[in-house]
Formats: sequence, C-alpha cells, structure tokens
Amino acid sequence: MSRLKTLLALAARSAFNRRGSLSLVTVAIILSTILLVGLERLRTQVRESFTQSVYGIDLLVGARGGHAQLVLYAIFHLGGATNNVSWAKVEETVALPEVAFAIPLSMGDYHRGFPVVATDDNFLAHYRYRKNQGLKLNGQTFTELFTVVLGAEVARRLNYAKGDQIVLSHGGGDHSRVHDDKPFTVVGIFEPTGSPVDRSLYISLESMEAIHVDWRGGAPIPGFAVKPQDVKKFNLRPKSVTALLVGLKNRRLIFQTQAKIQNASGEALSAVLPGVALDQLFQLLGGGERVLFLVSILVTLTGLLGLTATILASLSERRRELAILRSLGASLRDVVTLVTLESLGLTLTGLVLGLAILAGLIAFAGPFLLYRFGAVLELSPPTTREGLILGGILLAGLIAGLGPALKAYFFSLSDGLNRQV
Amino acid sequence: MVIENPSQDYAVNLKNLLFHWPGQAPLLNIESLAIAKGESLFIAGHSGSGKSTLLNLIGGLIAPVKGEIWVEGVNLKALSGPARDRFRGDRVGFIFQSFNLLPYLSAQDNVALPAKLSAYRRDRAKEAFGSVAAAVESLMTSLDLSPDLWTRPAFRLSVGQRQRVAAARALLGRPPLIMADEPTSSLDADRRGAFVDLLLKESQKAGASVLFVSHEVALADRFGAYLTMESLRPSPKEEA
Ligand SMILES: Nc1ncnc2c1ncn2[C@@H]1O[C@H](COP(=O)(O)OP(=O)(O)OP(=O)(O)O)[C@@H](O)[C@H]1O
Ligand SMILES: [Mg+2]
Repeated sequence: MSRLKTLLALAARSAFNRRGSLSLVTVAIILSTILLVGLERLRTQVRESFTQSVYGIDLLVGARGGHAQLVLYAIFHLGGATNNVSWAKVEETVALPEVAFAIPLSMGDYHRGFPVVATDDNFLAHYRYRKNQGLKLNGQTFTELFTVVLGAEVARRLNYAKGDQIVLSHGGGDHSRVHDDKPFTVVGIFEPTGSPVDRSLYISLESMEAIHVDWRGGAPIPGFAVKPQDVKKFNLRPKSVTALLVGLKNRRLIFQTQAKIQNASGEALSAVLPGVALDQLFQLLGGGERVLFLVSILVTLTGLLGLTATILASLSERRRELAILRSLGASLRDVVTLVTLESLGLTLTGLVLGLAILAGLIAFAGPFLLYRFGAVLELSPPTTREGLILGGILLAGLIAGLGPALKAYFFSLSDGLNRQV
Repeated sequence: MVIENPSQDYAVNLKNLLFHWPGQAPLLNIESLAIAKGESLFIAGHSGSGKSTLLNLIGGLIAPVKGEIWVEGVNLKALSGPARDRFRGDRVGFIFQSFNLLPYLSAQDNVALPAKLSAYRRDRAKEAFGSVAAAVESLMTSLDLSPDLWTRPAFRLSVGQRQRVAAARALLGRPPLIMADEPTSSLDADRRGAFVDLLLKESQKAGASVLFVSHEVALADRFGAYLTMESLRPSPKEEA
C-alpha cells in the first residue's frame, strides 16, 4: 500500500516534469469527454423532452385515421385531421367511468405560422409536460372571448407582450384569409417549457366558435358579417373538436378503455397511447444522432491514440529513470504500474475535468438553451449509459497505456542497469 | 535449493559462474569470487569485458546461465523475481557512471528514495539517526554537500555534486553491499581520488562491503583488494 503510494507520488512528479506534452493529451481527453458525454446528454434530453411532450395523458383520441398523424396534430399541432370529433362524442367519452379528465383541442387557425389551439379550463388544470410539470402562466387565462395566451417562443419570436392585439388567420398558408374583423388581445404568456406549448397560441373553444359564426365551409359567408360585440347572441357551444387528450383514473385500464373508445358505435375514433407513439416517431426522426455519436467516438479514439503516442515518445527519455528505480529495488511490476498509472491518471484527469467543464456549461448554458431553442439541458447525476461511456473512456485509456507499459517492461528486462546513456 | 550460508563472512560469493548474453559468445566464466564482509574490492577491466554485466548478475537483475550467486548469505536463485528485486533494494546500494538521479526530485528527495522503496533501509536509517530526514542530512553533510544544495532539483547540480548525492543515496539505510560502476569516469581527474576516499570512508563507517568496477587502475590502491576481469577467467591451461 505504501509502496503504491510511493509509486503514485513518483509517477505524479515525473509526469509533472513532462507537463508540457502531457497537458496537451489531457486537453484532448477533456474535449473527448465533453463531446461524448455532452452529446449523449443532449441526445437523451432531446429524446426525453420529445417523448415527454405530454405527461400524464393516457390516450390521444381523434377521428379514425393514422396514428402518427394523430400524434402530430394532437401533440405537436402539426398538419391537420381529416375529420373532427363531434361534441356529442366528446361528451360520451368524458362520461366513460374510466376517464378522469379530457382536454379538448380544436385546431386549424394560425397566427403567423404558429398554430392556434382552442381548448378549455381542463388544459390549464391537467396539461403536464416533462416529469409532471404544470404550466406556469404570466397573466390571465383565455376564458374571456377574444383573448389569447401565447407560448413562450411565440411571444419571444414575434416580440409580443400582454395587451397587444393580434389577428388570427384561417389555415397556415401565406394567402390564408384572416379573421381581421375579430382581433384578439394577449392576456397571458406561458413560461418556457421545452414542449410544443412554447410554439402555440391558446384561446377558448368559444372564441374559436365566435370567429367562425359568420363562416361556412372555410370561408366567410358573403354579405353576412357579425361584429365581435354581437357574437354572444349566437350559440357558441363547440360543435366539434380536433382531438381529445384523455387521462384515466386507473392506468391499468388503458388498453381496455382504448378498445372501448375505438369500438364504440357511431363515428369511428382512434385512441392512441402517446408514449409508444412518440417513441416510434422519435426513432423515425432520430437517425442523425447515431452518426454524431460515431463521430465523437472517433474523436475520442484520436485523443487516446495521441495519449499512447505521447507516452511512448516519453519512454525513451524515461528509460534511465526506470533503470534507476530498478536499481533501487523496483520490480518489473512496479515499472509497469508506474507507466500504467500515468496513462490512467491522465485519462482520469481528463475525464474529471471534462465532466466538471460540462457541468459548468450545462449550468451556465442550460437556461439559455431552453429559452432560446426550447432544448432542455439539465444538471443531473450521470445516467447508466453515460456511466458506461465514462467507463469506456477509462478502459480505452487503460488499453492505450498497455503498449507503453509493455515496452517499458521489455526494455527494463533487457536493460538491467546498463541504460546509463 | 538450500538457502544456507556457505560462509557468514562473505558479502558476495560466486561459484562456477557462467554467463553469456543471448546469441553472444560466453562473456563471464568465474570459477570463484568471494568478497568478505566489510571488504573493499576493486575490479579493473577494459571496456566490454563484462564489468557492468557482473554487477547486474550480483544485483539479481539478470540470471546466470550456470553457477551460483550468493549475496549476504542468500542464494539469489532461491528467490523469486520480485523477491530478488526487494532483496536488491534492501541490501545493495548502486552508484553508476552518470545519470544516477531522478532529475525531477530534489537532492534530498533523491537521497531519501531508498527509504521510500525499502522498509529495511528505512528502518536502518531510523535506527541509526532517529529519522530518515536526519539520516539524509547527516549523509549529505558527510559527503560535502552544503545545505543550500539539499533542496535543489537534481538537474541543477554539477556533475561532481550529483555523484556525491548518488553516493549518499547508495549509503542511506546502510545496505551491507555498495556496488559502484565506474562512478568516477564523469569526474575531473583531480576529483576522482577525493570522491573514492569519501565513498570508502563512509562505507566503512556504515560497515558496508564495496565492489567497485572501473578501468581506471590508478584508483586501485585505495582499496583493500584488487582484481582484473581477465584474472577471473579460468587459466588457459585448464581450458585446453
Ligand atoms: N543488455 C544487453 N544485452 C545484450 N548484450 C549486452 C547487454 N549489455 C551488455 N551486453 C554485451 O556484453 C558485453 C559486456 O558489456 P558490459 O556492459 O558488461 O561491459 P563493461 O565491462 O561494463 O564495459 P564498459 O567499461 O564499456 O562499461 C558487451 O559486448 C556488450 O555488448
Ligand atoms: Mg560498464
């Protein structure tokens, strides 16, 4: 034990003596660590924030159709549904004994490319994203007619504040007709979530009905215009919605309830488990990450090759040093230990410094990334996969040190004490 | 294999030693060589005659092809590799021609090194001086190394100073055998005699035997005994 301590101290002093070249390889290992672990962290958290775009929702319900399509419009508000779900069907679904809550979503309108989502109080009460986080709202909710709440990114990108007046357009295209006769007032802005909420605008189902009272079949009825103050004379009860986000009282009844909804008589509905569907969708989209991972492994290998080369090069100058230690009673094993300790120590130093720098980067840049790109990057203890990556780097460092250790072994064996010049 | 001392009086005892490097002609063929405890022996030999090889054999770094090597009453063949290494660290103080010191350690840390690697020598240093540090200081003082040199890194010392630091290190913890491989050849001619005198005086104080190999025959009369590598070979008559 004390012998190992002595060897450790000698290895450290010797390495410090050669700190110029050694610090360069350490920097290479630091960069490799940051790249590999940082990329892994980014990958898992992108995946996490993608697959946990909704949380606590057990079933997505929409008109019968493709599952991927349902996920895209119900969660990401992308594309549109071919059919709607009638309000009667909504009420029927909500009334099922297994259902705890249902968030109705009605879509189709946009504001400067961002989707407008009409919903009700259930949205604020029950919508959860990533690890059971609820929405935080700065300002009022959208219960009043012609009021709108903005997602964080919408507000930031379009530079909107509470009190601003905006106009919605029917459909997302450039030449869509606009509801400029019924402007909306911004009453609240959601805090950043890293979920699709950031990129959406929220109004009430009644507001959605109200801007369409004088419309039919996707166009204003000619010669018939209703002023905003007059819309209350009309029945603003929604006739249909695009999708329903359903939460169950008991998650074990998911498949049973899914079957119940899909097999019910009347209009045909689809019910989808969001977790499974999101996972499938991510695998479809996430091919690029593997290439990135491969590249960072190559970078790491390059760094470790540098380590091997540097230690090998330093050995010829250390030959004398090792012969001296041999004369003082160091065994061949000690010599090998000494050389191995060096590569291991450098790898470990690079690893620890890399992790520390990465932690600093995440702590510093995390909030910025969320705000600017909606990407969630959080400080947390290493995951199993990250642990495996770290272990892999360490193991590779050990293997990289094997060559120099073997070389030191063989020349110590043949040199004896003769290597004096 | 018996680990019994053929004679307690011998620091080194070689019997029918035969050695050649792999693929080379026989280099050493020594019928018998004995160094009594406390004795100082000078072995002269021209370059390539096998002086350094002999020290490697006695130090247990290489094994003979044939024959026995006894050091301080222990048959080296009876020891495993690591045990031989430990034995060398405990019982033998080496001094080389040059490059004796770890350049990144101070003079005093170089001298203290044997106590770090050998418990035997640490204990002997403590026993004689109370502490390793005291032993280091005492030895360096005896070897004419002034205190301002003690903390200086080895690579900032003059060649003569380095050799004296090497001698102090070889003597630390009073190993029973000091082996020196041409330690004076890098010194100025007028300093060589002084260095050998100092080394012999301190070795005697420590009760150590000295085996000194060199081609500088002029130094030989300072030693108790004198041999040449050539005289160690069997006489031509026997070979014929
Ligand atoms: N590690 C080794 N492997 C192979 N051959 C060696 C090795 N060391 C020495 N030799 C050979 O053994 C012979 C004796 O070498 P050695 O170093 O023992 O001589 P020496 O008497 O110490 O010479 P010098 O006075 O020049 O130091 C030489 O021919 C040398 O080439
Ligand atoms: Mg020699």
